[in-house]
Amino acid sequence: MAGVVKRYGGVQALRGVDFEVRGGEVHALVGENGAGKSTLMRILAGAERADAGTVAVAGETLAGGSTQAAIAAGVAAVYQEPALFGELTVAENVFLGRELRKRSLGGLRRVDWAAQRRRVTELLERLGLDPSLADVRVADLAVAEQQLVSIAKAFAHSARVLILDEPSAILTDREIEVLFGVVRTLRQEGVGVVYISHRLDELARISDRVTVLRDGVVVATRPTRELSVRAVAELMVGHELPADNRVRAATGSTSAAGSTSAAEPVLEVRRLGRAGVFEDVDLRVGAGEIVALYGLVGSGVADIARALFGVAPADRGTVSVDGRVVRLRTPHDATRAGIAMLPGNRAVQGVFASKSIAFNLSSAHLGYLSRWGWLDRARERRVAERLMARLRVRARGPAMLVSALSGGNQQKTVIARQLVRTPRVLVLEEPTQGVDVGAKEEIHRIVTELAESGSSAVVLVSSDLPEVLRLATRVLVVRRGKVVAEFDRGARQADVLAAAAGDQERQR
Amino acid sequence: MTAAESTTNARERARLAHLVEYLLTERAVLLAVLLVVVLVWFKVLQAGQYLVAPYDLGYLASALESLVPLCLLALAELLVIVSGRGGIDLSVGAIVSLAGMAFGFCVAGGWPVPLAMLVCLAAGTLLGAVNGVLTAYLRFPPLIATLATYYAYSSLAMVSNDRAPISTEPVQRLSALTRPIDVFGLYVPRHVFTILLPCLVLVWLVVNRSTYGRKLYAVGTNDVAATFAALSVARVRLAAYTGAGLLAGVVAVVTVAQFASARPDAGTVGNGMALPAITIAVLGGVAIQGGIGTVGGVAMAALLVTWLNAGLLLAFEGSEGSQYQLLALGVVLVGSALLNTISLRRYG
Amino acid sequence: MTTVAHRLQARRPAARPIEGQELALLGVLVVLWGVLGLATDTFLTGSNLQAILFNVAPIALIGIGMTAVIVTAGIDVSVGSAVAVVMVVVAKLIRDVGVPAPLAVLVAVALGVCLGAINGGLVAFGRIHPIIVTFATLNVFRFVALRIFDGRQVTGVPDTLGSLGGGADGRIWGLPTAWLLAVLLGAAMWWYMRSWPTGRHLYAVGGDVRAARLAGVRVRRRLVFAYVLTGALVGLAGCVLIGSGGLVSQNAGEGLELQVIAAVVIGGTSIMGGRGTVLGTMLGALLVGTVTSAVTLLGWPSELTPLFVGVFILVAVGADLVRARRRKAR
Repeated sequence: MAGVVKRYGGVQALRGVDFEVRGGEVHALVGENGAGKSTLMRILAGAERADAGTVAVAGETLAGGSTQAAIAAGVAAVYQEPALFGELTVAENVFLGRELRKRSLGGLRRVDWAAQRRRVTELLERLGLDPSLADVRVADLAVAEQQLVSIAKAFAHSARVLILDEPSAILTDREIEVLFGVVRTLRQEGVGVVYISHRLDELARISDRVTVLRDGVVVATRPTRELSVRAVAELMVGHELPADNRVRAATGSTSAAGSTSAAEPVLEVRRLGRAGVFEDVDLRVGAGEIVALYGLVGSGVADIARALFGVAPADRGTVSVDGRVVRLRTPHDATRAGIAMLPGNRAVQGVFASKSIAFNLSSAHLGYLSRWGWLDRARERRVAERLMARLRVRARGPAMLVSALSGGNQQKTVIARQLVRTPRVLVLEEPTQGVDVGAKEEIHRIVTELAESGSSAVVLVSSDLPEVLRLATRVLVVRRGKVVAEFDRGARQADVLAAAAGDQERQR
Repeated sequence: MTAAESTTNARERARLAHLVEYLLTERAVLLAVLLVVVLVWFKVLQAGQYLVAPYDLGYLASALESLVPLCLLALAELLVIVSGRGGIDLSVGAIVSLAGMAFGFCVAGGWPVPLAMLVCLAAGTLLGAVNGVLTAYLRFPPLIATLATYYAYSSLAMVSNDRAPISTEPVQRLSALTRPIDVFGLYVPRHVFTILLPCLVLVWLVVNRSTYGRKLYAVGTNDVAATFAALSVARVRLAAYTGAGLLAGVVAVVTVAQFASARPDAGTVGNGMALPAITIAVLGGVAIQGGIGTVGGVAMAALLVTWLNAGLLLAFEGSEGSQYQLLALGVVLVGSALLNTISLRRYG
Repeated sequence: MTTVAHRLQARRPAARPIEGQELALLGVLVVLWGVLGLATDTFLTGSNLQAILFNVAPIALIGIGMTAVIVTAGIDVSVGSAVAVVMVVVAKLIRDVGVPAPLAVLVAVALGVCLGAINGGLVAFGRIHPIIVTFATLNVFRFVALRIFDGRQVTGVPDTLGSLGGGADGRIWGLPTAWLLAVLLGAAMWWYMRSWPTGRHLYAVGGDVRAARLAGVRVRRRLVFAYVLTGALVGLAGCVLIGSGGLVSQNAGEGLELQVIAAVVIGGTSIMGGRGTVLGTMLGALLVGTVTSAVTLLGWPSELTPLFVGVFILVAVGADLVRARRRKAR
């Protein structure tokens, strides 16, 4: 790929990226969220078309914007969601749409099951997997195995370039070993593997070269053995942010660091755990504090947040709000305890798209806005107008449909929903994901103001490291379901990233 | 053309586009327009001597008798379909039969009529609640659960009196509930005023003004977001199916009174009552995927279909009219589904 | 590096030709037949079993097609009305025109195919939800049938199709021909849905329509096929129902669709699509027929039959749901 440029309406996602993968090489591609990794790979896989630059596979230029062309050229991508059919067997899934046929019964071409089974068994063996998987129904497989099947499927048809997007995110250690075995076999077979991952420690074990992307530009492409985890982290992050790049609250003062030494923390979490997902999580957040939980994909951070809101309850440990122990079995319990949560996936978990802003705001507070089962619509509208003004939601009015709003304004609406009644604890999951720069600033301002008013404790779960360091008074790094490090304000990005990615040297 | 002309053209086109959008999104308005078209059409046929009897106000007033059960059951379907996740209720007709039999037994057994009515409503509520538990708590797909209860309830209704209707004297006296009353010279069945209108108002209030109504639309639009908004999705859906059962109970009272007899196949004869009810709900703007639909749209749709059917009975001899009603229902359903798809896709 | 821990888990059972649900169903049938044989002395008689098989045949026939439809996450509630159309047309043909049996069957199947094509076209190309399409065609087909009936039942239908009927000449080796036909076609379809790529594609369409399309499955063709096949089988079922002739009444086929759907669902096909086999449907149909016969022979009011069918539906689907949930929990 040479000189690839891609704009998204005013935002330059990629600025002249040169990237190459050799056959028989595992080339790791790293970068922060928004650095351009997924965009680059989407262009390679034909899902998007570059605005400028060329893509060539084995010397032949690839026509852009066509997944068919990419597949035909031997490029395949495996994403985190395995696109498999649960009711069909592994062998059927691998060959779906491209079945091997044989002639039988007077010239009719039916599926040559025997040949397919043989090929799939060979394939699985070649990749170092259990060949008996060929006849198992995909729905009976564990998620990790399904992912390996996806890889096998991609390999079966496209022998040249394989893009693996965060393949180890959901895997246990043992499963990762198997994955690495498969990747090494692919390398032996002469496939060029693009390995996208945040787990910097893994890269040393599996990749031959590393390319670091930052802000749409290639910062470095070097053999893996020349770089340490710290070095990669620093390349990803670039120059450190200026020391006083704090969010200025509307009052004009900078938020003091750790100003709350109040006796009683608002939120106290002790040895919280959920089998197989996270364990032994301790957390103490005082009024006015913003404590961030930072971790890579699959670290369990999002699950901790959900446990705090009762969506996926923990099975061990205690949570106390204002000194009172609370049982969080359902979101209702959480709301009653004064905990509010902004869900991470706005479209699926947050908005009622076909309904108005007022509807969206009041949906979590219907009891509060009602009297004897009667919804007070005038009050609902007043509350909506007030919040829209406070959060600067750009819309014609509270009756406007949320689906007509921009991503940033939609996000502000969902955040506003949490603020209808000031919560004691506000859990924010990815608050500025998919949001434009202006709205991002405003959201940061709102969060800081909320914390400073002293009425709420904020728990921030975000994969946006600069955002985390900007907002949080303390950062807890989570890795593989456990808190592994804690940083105060003023920490260096590279340190935090390294801790999250498993750099052993920096353990505190 | 001149610049002025082209801007006027553009403005007219924009106005037309606005009008189309308005019609497609405000279902009640579109149906009102279609209703006028239907009325005018039949008046024209009448003038041309094509009808066997006059399609006049008196006839339309008496035709309202069939509006009552249809509209109430369509409202029941509104509740369950809006609740989302494939919500539907195939058993409403069977509930009408079974609750109706309970009603008949009570009345024939000498119970005071108001008490018997209460029993009937309670029966409907209970039967609806069973549907609710099956779908909301036990997670059966609504199509399957209500198919099973359709079988179960219609079977029980048939067995309850050995397939025979209950038409003893006390039951026959119930027809007084549905006798027409004189409204400005027109004979309107009284249960339009005593039962349909109050129910319409009540359902409208619940759906549009109450807290529960909001929860219903939230759950139907996006039950994951509703969970994150701390709403109890299962409870909301249970209430929807229970409410549908209650409305079916009301229809049971009306049906028994109307025919002066409690028939075990009242709601299941022919294709059953559930089918037209669902058709009218979809025509009235209720989206099959949930979260969308208004009481006004459904009421308007019921009225349109009732008066259309009434006209068809006059336009054709003998039993042909009822046959053409089937055709009309089928065509209207596909047409309204297409409308729903188009308007959701363009203005969603 | 093939020695690294590749055996992720212990071996799992491969996808078998006969699923757990079907085995359970078979077991229930065997037990039921055994119990009824002991409880009454009329159940296990030749004439009763012949009657059961014959009565079940139309449901099984249509169920073959309905299985494919439901596997694609669709549904067809218009089959009852469609069968009425076929029956009235064919009955009049053999009565008034004296059409011989083979031609009559051909006409029936062709007519059924046309009706099915309407459904398939609206679902695949009109992109309307199947339940709405088939609710609509249910009405329209019933209208068409009633128009052809012209207000009267069709009486005096000759026994041209007697070889498919329930009488003595409708049997081969003691088994009703209609039933044998159903078994034959059922086996063919079962084989098709197991061994032919386009047959497997039906499951893909029902499992995830978008992924299927991306994988190169001709989704629209599969959908049309499923509904057209159902239509063809409706044609055959119509011939079976005319059978030895006599009378074709105007409410022919009423409620048939629900019986077929019940059979399919009891047989383990998921209403969400992506799962199910014809074998299960045949067993489900047999179960429904057994229940019907049992109720009569045990002297219970025949109105109780639907109640038992309803209960069986809940039990069968419930068992399926429990199994699916257990699988996900792993």
